[in-house]
Amino acid sequence: MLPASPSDPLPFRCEISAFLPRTDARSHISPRRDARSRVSTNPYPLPSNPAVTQPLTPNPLQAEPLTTADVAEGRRDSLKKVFRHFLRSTSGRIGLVLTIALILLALLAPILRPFDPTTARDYAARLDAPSMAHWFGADGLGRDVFTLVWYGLRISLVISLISVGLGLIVGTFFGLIAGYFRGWADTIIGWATDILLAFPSILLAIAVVTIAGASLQSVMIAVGVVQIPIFIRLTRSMVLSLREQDFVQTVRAFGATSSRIIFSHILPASLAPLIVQATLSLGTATLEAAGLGFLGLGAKPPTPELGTMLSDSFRNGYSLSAPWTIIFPGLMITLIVLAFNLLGDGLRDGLDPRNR
Amino acid sequence: MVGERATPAQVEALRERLGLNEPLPIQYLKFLGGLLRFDLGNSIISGIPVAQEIRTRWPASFELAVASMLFAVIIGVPAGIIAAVKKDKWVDNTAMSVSLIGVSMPVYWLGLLLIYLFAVNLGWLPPSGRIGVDVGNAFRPITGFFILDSILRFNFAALGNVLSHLVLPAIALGTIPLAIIARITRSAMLEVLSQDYIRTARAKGLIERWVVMKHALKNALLPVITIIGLQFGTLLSGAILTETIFSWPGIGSWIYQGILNRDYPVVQGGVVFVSMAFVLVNLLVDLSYALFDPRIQYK
Repeated sequence: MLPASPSDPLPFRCEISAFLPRTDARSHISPRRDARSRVSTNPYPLPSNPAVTQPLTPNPLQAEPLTTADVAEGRRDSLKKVFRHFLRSTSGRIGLVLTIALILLALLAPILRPFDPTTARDYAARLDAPSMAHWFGADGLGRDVFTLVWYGLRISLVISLISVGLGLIVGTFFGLIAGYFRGWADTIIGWATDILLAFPSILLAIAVVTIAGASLQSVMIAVGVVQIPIFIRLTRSMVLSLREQDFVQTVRAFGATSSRIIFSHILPASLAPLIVQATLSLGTATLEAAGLGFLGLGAKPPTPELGTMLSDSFRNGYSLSAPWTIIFPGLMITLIVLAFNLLGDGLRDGLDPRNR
Repeated sequence: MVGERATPAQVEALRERLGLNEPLPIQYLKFLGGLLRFDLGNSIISGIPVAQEIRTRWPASFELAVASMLFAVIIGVPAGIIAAVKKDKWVDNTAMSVSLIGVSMPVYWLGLLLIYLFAVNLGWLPPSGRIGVDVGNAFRPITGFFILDSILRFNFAALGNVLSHLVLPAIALGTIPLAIIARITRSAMLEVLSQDYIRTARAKGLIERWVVMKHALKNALLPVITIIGLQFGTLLSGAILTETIFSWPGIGSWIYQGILNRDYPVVQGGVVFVSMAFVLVNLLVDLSYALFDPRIQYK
């Protein structure tokens, strides 16, 4: 770069422009930025000249610290960007379509198949192979596997949503406290997290179900508990970096209470990674819930839970003589988990700054 | 355990025998004291000491975990490398799609499908157990690791039999780690391959295979080793479902039986053992970093 000579007006142009009053050329800039520039308005404006006002680089020395409203605006911007990148990824699109389709199917089940799949038995069709009457065949009690799997999808989705919701809410809450207040709260929560993570997840879930008794509710709690430490770790790490940032310091300087800072400023800023993790967790939660069902620790047999159906077929020996009683429930579990994994992958790609 | 018509005195006698009449903190301290002496109590159902049962069963679980890990690494790492080198080509897309389906499958479902296909329909491999009944009766184990034992005894018929029993459970248990290893290897390789020193190596005129295998792979291995270690820890516990499907006489199926029978000493002892193994494996992984990356030193 050439050294600036007195005859060269260029180096001045940028500096002066920072002091220039607002002109129409800047109308595309948001009102908030305008407000900031108005503060630094020169009381002795130079004659307005579009050529001079064009390269508007705000003087870094004059810049005020970002306000939370700026951050909120930036967040909206970045969420839009994330969504755009998400839509660009193939896995994200497939995952989104699959997830929406599965949710729609689950919602439509009672309308399109308005009977209880567990009591609608056709003993004549016991263990029948897939046919036009029974698309996925019939199970040992003559129940239509297609309908059972369809209703199983509903139960699986509910279990995974509730358990991940539980893990997300509890984990995020403790993560926020540990990361924001540090000190003894952080130490104790850190210990609890380490202990929970030291157990292999399925064992932890089994332990919780053994204490709470085998039922659908226990499965939701067990799978939720397994998710808690993951969310604590994630939230804590984000809070640690966010609490030192300018916008948080500003809000604190204005005298905002801790709970306000945490829930109105830090939490919204850390939502995106939490959403990605929650989506991926939905997949593992589905697998774990079905695993507990398979071990006989979930819903009791007449309930069309997918893992319980597999277990029923395995224990009665149908898995070898009537393979459709295992193929289709397992395929549905795989499909649900696949949908969540694809969706989570797409969201993560959208969030990854390297992809932008 | 004492039947439905037990008198209160009988119930009380049983509670005293099992130590259930003492306050919970005392029971817990007694359990901890026993743990220090590797005394985990006796199974309520069979009466066999839990520690003894763990000693006879863990080689089976360990053998299965090692076999599935080998399966996962031998296929997963090369698949990840190839996918990274051929990024966005059909090989990459296929490998990543298959691995995504792999992580999304329930392990026990895959096990059941494998049994149905290869054991029942095709009859190629045995569906369950660790060794055939005939061979097993004549077989005298030394260490409890059947592969090692059959080699030590020069009993190659038994070796073949043991290996054939190991194939299906190892594939079922190893599929999820395989998929995860392939994905991690791919992303680690992509990260390394985009670095300057790789460009330098290529600019020097090195052949591509040399650049990938010699320059890139070594640096990409660290995250892969982490994940292999973590997965190995998970395998020791994830085996609960797989061992149940394949009637594998390991720790996992034993814990499962313990749960069904409400045999608490068994569940307690088994969970303690598996968690300790899990923590130990993670520690070993952390220590192994220094071996693979000379920049890391432990003082």
